[in-house]
Amino acid sequence: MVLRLDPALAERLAAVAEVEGRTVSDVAREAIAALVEARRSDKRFIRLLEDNLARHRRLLDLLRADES
Amino acid sequence: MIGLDVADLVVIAGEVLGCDTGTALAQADLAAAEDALAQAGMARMARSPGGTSAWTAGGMSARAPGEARGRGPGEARGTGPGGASPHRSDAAEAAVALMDALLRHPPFPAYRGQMAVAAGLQFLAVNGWQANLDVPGAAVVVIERLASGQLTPVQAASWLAARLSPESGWPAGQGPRRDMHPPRSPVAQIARAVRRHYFRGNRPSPLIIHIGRDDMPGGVITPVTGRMAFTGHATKALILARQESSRLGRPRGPEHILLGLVSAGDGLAVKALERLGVGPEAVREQVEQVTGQEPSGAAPEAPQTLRVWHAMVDEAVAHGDDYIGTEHFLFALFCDADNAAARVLIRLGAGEREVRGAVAELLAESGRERSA
Repeated sequence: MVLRLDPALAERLAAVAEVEGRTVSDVAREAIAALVEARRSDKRFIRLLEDNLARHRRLLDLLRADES
Repeated sequence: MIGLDVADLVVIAGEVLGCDTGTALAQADLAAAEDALAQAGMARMARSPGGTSAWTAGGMSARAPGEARGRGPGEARGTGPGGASPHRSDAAEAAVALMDALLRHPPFPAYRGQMAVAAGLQFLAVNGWQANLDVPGAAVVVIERLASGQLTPVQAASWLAARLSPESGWPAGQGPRRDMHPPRSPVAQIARAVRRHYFRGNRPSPLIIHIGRDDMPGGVITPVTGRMAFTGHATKALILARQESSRLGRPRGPEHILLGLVSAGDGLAVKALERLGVGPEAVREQVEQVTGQEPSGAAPEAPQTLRVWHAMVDEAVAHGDDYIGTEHFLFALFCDADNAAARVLIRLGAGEREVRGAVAELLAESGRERSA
């Protein structure tokens, strides 16, 4: 995985990775997974997303048909 | 303005792909996601990972769970009603920039278009705007043309801005506004009055239609686009459509518009249908067969016709045209697959895909991107 990180953040990730004996890539992906989990608990975000996808289902289906 | 981040894209992907977010994350090209978000300028906007903190351009700042999402720098220019949302055109520009970036740097290449649209819609929603894409076919055209570079982000943003409404109702008189040309003519004054009426009441977009005469082309006035003139061929087709509905003693329906188009004798729509082997007589015969069994009504305008009017404007804007030509009418007839005109064309082998293809060929042959 290639990620361009803020130097300070990259340094912290590298430190965590070294202490825990893992790669920076693993630590970064785990950090993003934590962010994703947190985002899933944002009820307003999820409600807006579900409403949007339901409202535009036909459009998304047409795009899927084009891509398949 | 509130931006999206990688975590947002993964959550959106989970819904679009129909999988859990762990699977979506495993499939994500995170480098592409970063490239896309950087190209779209999302890093300059506020972000909020799950209600625990918010990234801003100046660094990371604490935010309590459930608190409203943070707002980013440069927002003052684009702040909308009550300071709660960005201006309509700013929101549209930023949403299109995000979609364009996700089309060029797709984090989920197999779902490129869907992800771009879903993310763009979600970006608008978290910023207080809702896109009204009532004609999905036109939206697909816009996305495809944006992806291929045939439509610039500015053109796409103009198209999208015309379809935005507040996510929830604004207080009376505080609705979003779009800078329009100052009134210079009676028509412009009417357009301005319509816009005021529309924005004050937050009602569905109305249309004022003037069919015109042989010597004076008509047009359509919408709250957002202002006046869009019919071409000469389109005016002639509409006059003929009105005559057809009177002759048949029926409210004007999409089938009469189709009869008007083929009877006009010229124009891009007629040429496209000729290319598909569809002539006026065949259309007339099929219309009589299809509508012969249907009861006639007393309404001055069939409800399906109103959908065609709206779709026609959508088609013109989707193609970046500031006028309405016969080809826009022809495309718009497919806004309802079950209206008589669409059924007739499909029966004659001229379905939506074939018609769009024929028009595109004619335009390509004539060396024009747009037509009159």
